Amino acid sequence: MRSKGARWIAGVLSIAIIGGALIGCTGTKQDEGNKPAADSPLLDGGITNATGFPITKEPITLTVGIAYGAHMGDITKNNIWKKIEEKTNIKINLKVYSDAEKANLMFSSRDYPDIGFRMDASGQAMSDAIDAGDIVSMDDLLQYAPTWKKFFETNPELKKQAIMPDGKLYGFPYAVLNETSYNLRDQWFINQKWLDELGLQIPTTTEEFKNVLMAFKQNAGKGSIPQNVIPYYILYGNNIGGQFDMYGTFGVYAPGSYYIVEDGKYKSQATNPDLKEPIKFMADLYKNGLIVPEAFTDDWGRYTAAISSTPPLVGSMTSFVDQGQNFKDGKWWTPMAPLKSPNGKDPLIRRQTKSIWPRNFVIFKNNKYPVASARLAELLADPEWSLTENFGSEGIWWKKNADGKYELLNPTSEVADADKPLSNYGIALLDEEMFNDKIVNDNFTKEGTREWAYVHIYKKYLPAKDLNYPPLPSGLLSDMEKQRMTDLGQSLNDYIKTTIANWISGKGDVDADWDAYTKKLQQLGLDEYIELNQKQLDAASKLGG
Amino acid sequence: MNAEVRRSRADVVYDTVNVAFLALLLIIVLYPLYFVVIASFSDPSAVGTGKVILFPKGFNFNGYDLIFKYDQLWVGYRNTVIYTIGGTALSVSLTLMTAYAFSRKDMAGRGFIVTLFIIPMFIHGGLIPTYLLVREMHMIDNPLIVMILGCVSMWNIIITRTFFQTTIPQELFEAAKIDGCGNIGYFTKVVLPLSKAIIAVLVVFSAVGQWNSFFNALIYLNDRNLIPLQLVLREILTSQTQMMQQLELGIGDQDMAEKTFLAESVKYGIIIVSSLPVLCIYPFAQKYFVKGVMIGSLKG
Amino acid sequence: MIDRVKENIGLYILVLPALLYVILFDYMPLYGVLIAFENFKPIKGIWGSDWIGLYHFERFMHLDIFWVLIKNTLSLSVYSLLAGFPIPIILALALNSVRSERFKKVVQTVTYAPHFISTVILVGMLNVFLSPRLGVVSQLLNSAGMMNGPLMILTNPDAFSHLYVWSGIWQGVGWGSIIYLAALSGVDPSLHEAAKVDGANKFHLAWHVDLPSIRPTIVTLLILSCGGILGIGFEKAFLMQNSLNLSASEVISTYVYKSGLLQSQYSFSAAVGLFNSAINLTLLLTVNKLAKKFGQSGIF
Repeated sequence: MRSKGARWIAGVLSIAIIGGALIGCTGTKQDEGNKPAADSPLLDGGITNATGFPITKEPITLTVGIAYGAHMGDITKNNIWKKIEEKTNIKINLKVYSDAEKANLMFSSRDYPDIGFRMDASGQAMSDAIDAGDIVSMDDLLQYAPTWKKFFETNPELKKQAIMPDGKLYGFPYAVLNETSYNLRDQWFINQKWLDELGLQIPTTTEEFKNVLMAFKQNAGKGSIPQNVIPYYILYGNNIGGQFDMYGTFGVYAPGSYYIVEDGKYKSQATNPDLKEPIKFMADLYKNGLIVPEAFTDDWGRYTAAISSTPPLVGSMTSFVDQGQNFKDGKWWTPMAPLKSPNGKDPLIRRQTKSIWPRNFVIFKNNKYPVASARLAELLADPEWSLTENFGSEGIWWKKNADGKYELLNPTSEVADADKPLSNYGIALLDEEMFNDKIVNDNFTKEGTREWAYVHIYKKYLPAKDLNYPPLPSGLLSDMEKQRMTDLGQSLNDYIKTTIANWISGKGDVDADWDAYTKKLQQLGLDEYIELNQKQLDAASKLGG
Repeated sequence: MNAEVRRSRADVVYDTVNVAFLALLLIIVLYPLYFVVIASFSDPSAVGTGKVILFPKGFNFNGYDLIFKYDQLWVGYRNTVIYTIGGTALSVSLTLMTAYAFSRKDMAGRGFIVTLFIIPMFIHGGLIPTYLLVREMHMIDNPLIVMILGCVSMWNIIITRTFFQTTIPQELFEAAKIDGCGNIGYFTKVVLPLSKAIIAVLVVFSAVGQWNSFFNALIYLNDRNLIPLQLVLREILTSQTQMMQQLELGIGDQDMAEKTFLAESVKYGIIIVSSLPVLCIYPFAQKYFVKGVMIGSLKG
Repeated sequence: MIDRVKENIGLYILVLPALLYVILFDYMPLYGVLIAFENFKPIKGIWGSDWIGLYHFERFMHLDIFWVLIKNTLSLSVYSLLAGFPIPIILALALNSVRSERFKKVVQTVTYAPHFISTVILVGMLNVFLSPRLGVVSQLLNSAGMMNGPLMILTNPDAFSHLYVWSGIWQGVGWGSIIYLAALSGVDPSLHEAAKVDGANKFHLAWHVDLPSIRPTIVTLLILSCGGILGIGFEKAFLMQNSLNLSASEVISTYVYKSGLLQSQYSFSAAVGLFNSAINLTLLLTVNKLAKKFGQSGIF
């Protein structure tokens, strides 16, 4: 898919042009107070203007369902709803599902709102509703949402994530494509302060890494290294902070599970013999007390407690978030590159999947104003609206500079519910071009931030091809096949997880047990599992041409 | 005289062993409870890394600040008190009435009716049909529904029936019948006054159950002004899991990481805030576990 | 028959409200069990989904891990029952013979408090106390020289059931004793007086008078417990799982939870639920029959 580079560049260019044009438009439109053209035809039974604002001739109300946890604040207080009403004549009546259970029940009882934002119902519930014709297809409505139409035309790969098994689109997406964010999984941190105290350099090879960790351990209780130091912290089996980056450093890419997709082929890394080396290396670290037993017992809460401990307890770890200490005194943590291993393979860092949330704005069949709804989705794709949707209110989270660029701000005091972002609970369209050319983010120049680390350290260690499993719509396999896949996946994962944990913690030897292990995986149905996944991938690749 | 001494010596041994056993149990139970209290005032990373043992470390009120900042908390408290009182009254009366009838061997068709009650202990229709039914009855967002659902517990009925059967002699009814007392009159005037202990138990069981429940409220109440305390607290707690999922999906930020950490500090405080009031029910109920009630009634 | 009903009409009136509840909220939604035999789609509804017969039952029983699940679930629940059932009775008997009312009240109230600690916190505390290097227990044992190195109890599959069961007992012993304490309050004091005259010491009183008096309550609770034997809840086992103890900690409910996590597997979980119920009901009936055979009154 990546080979279609030319097409991709073309896409970016065309978006650049359109994006630029749109930004220009909004400015002028607002200034003129934009009255709808007198001769524009009225739709939705004579209520909706085809172009211009307000969207509807007279005020209408649309019920919008949204799955939003109450702890995140009161989303009904968000300014955006008022802004929408002022601009479009559409009053939004929010229906908040505070729990996924509630959203699922809404689907089972078919008590639909007019529009569904992020619903958090299962993918199955969504695809069942589509099968039943309860969600309106976008095909006829895209003409009222030209920005989205263009977006799908110029981003065929992303369109594929959105298209349903019947080949149609059923929603407008949350499309925020920030390369720094989607292209980097965890950063690998090392405790710079301890290195400095011991007069050591940032390690570049696995051997140096082990020596550094040994030094941390041997100097426990001296300087700022605590008595109960955790030289290298992993949260075994976890996507964040797990052992997967250690595989990467030995050149084995495992994106958070043991399965990858290479050139359209679904593959298992669990049976890749190259995995033996990183496992042996980790077993060695474990034997020397450099990986501690807590790696297997800590839950997320204790994980956060361990890595956030002040003063730090941990010598090195992989982590998704920037470490607070970096912001506070800039001394503790330094992001480091993946290590060179003795096997000579290029070290890799993990990337996330470039993806959209394809159905964060769906129109249910009971909605009496589908055209008005589509035009609302179009409005929400406008760059400045999108900035507000994704980052929060203008003036607090971002501002427009004199050169027409948008600068991101870090609000210092607590932000009121009214000014919070909707982020991925709603929709927005901010593409790579926007992030590269239009959005100014200070962090790129601040050493130690994720943005800085991505550009200066990690970018070159990304695998050449995207090996992550792409997001697929539900319903590509039959229900029975999908259940079979779930059952197989469950028992395979349990077995892989336990076996590798045993090897690392010294119960069993990877070289001696490897054949029995791969045999057991076959017996548990690995081949069938791969076949089913391949079938699903193939079905997906046929969608949308 | 000799026998007297020997007996009391055995009793002394018994009492000593008994008190020692209970004291040991007390300590085993008490320490973790004490730990919950000190952990609620401590820095969560100190708790997580084993530094909090006898005294709070990094003493602070951050967890409590976060809990009490939640406006919904007080609304939740009020609702929970109402639901607990209403639900308990309903459940205890239904249980006593049904259990008494089931305790009477001379009730024709008793076996059939009891079986009718036992089957649902094992087979139930699940959430969806119940939800549809409640919706049909227009009981969504009606606070009565959280008091009604679950008010008949066969488990409680069976326990109560056993109590009636073992502590209230059948002859008492025969005597009352001669005095011209009907079934209902006998139940209210004779049985209930003799059953203070089991009533106290039922009150504790139902009140605690109702106090701690959140699922029905989660499903059937949408109005934020109606939700009970446990649901409010659950929202604070699940925020941690939800934010973790967000981080897993790669859409978290620094702010969120700090919040997951804060949620960790809330966990222990929540236990204290939510259970203190209902903890007090039991000492109150203990008053009714008095020996010799039966005797007095028979004599009087 | 009609005469007998008429004679005790009051009893039927007493049962009526609970009966209405059972019919309305238990029997009306009962058609929901059908989804266990369907490829249930919420959109199509319970009546409209495709019928697939025993597919889900076969699917469950053909899982590679099926026997492991049964073994783990059974051993956890049998162990819980064997260890957890007698202890509240012992506590109740011990409390009952304590002389100091105040001491008794303190022990009673303190042992009851852990009931209010949520599972999340309970498991969290287990992790904090038993953490391999930083836990209190590990630190204590190491400094006392009884152990050198990390405490590997949390990752040891053989230790899982002990941790699970005994933490459960810690949490439930006081709560479980409530019902026995209430039953003990119904013991006729004149029996004690009579036994004392015969030279019984306090141990004799507890063993020969108190215990037999509450036997019906014990039997009733035992039968009820046997009816819940496969019902190991998912939350605690799930939270206590880690990649190294999985071979002992994967039980039916955790498996169903995990395999249903990605999709709404209503049908599969309903089928497994029905499977559990069938076994539990069989057990309940068997134990009930046995109890009757040994001269106790069963629960029906």
